[in-house]
Amino acid sequence: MAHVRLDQVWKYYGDVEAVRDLTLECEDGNMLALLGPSGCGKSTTLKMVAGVEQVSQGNIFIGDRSVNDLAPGQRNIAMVFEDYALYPHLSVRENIAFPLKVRKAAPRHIQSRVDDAIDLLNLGDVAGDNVKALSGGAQQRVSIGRALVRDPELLLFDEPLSHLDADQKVYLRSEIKRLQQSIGLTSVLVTHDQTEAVAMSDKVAVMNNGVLQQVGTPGDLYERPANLFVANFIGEPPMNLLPVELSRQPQGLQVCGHGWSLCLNDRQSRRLDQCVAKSGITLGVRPEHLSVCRSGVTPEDYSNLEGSISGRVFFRELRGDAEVLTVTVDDEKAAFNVVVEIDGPSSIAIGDKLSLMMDADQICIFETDNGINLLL
Amino acid sequence: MSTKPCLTAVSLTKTYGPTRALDGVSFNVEPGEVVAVTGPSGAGKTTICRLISGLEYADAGRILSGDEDITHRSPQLRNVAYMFESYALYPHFSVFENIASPLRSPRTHRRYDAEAIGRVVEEALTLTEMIGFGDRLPSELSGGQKQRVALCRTLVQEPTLYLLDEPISHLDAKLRHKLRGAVRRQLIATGLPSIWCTPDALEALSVGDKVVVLSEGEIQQMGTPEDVFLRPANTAVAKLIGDPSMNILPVRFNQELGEMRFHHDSGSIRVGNSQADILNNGLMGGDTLLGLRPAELFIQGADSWDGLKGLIYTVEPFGKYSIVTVDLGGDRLKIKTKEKVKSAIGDMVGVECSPSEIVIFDKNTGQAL
Repeated sequence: MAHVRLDQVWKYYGDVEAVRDLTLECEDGNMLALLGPSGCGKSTTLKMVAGVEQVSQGNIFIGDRSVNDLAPGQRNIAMVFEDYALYPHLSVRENIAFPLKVRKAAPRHIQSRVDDAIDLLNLGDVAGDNVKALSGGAQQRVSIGRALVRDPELLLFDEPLSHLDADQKVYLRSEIKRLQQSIGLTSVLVTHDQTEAVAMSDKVAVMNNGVLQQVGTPGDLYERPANLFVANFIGEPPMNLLPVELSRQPQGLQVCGHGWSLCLNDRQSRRLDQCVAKSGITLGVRPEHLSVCRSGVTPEDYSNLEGSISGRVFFRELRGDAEVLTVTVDDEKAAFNVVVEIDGPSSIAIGDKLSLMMDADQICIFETDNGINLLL
Repeated sequence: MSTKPCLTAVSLTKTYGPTRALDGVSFNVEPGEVVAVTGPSGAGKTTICRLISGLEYADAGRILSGDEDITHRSPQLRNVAYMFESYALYPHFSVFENIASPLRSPRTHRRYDAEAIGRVVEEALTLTEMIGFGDRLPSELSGGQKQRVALCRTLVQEPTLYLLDEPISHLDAKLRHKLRGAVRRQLIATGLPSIWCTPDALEALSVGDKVVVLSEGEIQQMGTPEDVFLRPANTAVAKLIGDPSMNILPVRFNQELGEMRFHHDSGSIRVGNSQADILNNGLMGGDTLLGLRPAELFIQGADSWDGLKGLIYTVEPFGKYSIVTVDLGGDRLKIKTKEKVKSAIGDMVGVECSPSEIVIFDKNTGQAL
């Protein structure tokens, strides 16, 4: 397999800049996900790597060679499509063998390559069946097999799971991940689904309006989002974003929201030292980094604690082993909702009064106007 | 306050040719209650909507609104607000006119002047974050936007019953999260009965006061979200609910030297007190199925572990948790953990399960014991 590198790549459609100055790398044997909302440029990028769209400016390298001027067929890549794109009148085995037959490979070679792929993808029981009779998940496995027998240097996945039922999706997601890791496939995945991107890839590139927002491991994106767009896009339920003010206190820096405040730790205080005078600061905290204090009996007990936000449960959702609470904070100054995720099922009911404690080490601080994460 | 009638379905049965789409389905929906109907595609969710709305008639069974039998009443006399899975927007009407259309119908026109219609439509557009799209035609909208227009058109009505068939399935995660709460609250506030169909079992747990789990035209279980999640009635329900769903592990139960254990080829699990009671009641001996929730399983070092052991099959990191699949010689367990996973594919690990969280199913019938 080979590594893939995009070097200052641009794509214009007339006056529209679909991809702007994109520099990205996928290391040998890794999977890179291109993630973003529709129209962000992720599919255009994949098409340029595949060679079905021309690069307007910049270079794409597969291995050490620039592929800008190579036709798709000369790039030694294979693609797995959203809708499988199988030959409907052929069997599983015939579909997988097809690319080798077209290349007039030796029958014995075809046989052994196809057998290996059928084995690898657990298609043994259905090898002779017509592909139309298979479930979506099995059809997608056939299409992966067809891509693999050609021994490509690079495998491209274009929304491979979006047509599948939930259970098939969960199954194939882990199968692709295992396959990719165990045989070290260099792969690029395009998806709009953050769960897929995060679960399957070594690195995720988040795009918006043709511009790369951040590239990093799933943990980087989740714990250290570069800006408000990434913070908001990654994570479900999304990160809580609250307007705050920074102030200097004897014990260090402090953030103040409406009716609550929180002392920052030493690292955060040092990092934000120059930002105290700034206005327009947004604090970000993930729903699972808030914990709940019941305050039904002595309602004011917790509310003077630093970092605690008091409110009433507006909505409660059981999400299996987790529970998501939407808590409305409504004092004389402001009304806003905070979303909290706790272990479920709990005995909390709509209307209960709660205090929320924030895990200070897990927060993000953004500059509201330009969205930049000031703690990075 | 006048009480609004509840909706009752009694033994609804419907066949299409050789296919039995619904088979003796009974449930009721109280006023001000949301009943979430979930199940895989083909389970019969849409058929329930079509029978209750009157678009089709049941082969057998009855539909009651309060005490009134409406089984054979025509759809226009039922006054049901039905949101179709396929949206069914008027292609030549703007978004605004699509949403306003039920407010202009002969039944309601006297109550709404132009200003009131404008206000109601605006509220619905605000709720669904569609402000500014009022003048567009459906052909100029994305799938998710069309779905929101169909949802608006349903919510502005004043029916006797709301029937929502996959109302938010095509929206992004953020908007789905918002609308689960907002739409549920609005439905409850009307004090009318509501039915919310969705193939997403977690969505059903989120929005339903009661959850009806449907499979192959039959109700598998009906209960509160907690019931359905914690005490699945059978393996069909267990496999549908949760993210990921419950693991089902075939084991053999026996008693040696006074200790009761579940045996699997990869190791054994000590039987907890609550299971011992079930097993001692003589309901079963020998082969059985265990239901193990992914969040109640824990990875242990393999060396000194005397329980289940297997090889790491995949590790999927999701940020706030990871899903680890462990292969126990063919049977695979999914484990959901908030700890950082240090093991890699192929590593041998032990799997711990808390005995009190195990659900036991009959091997032959799949029913929970």
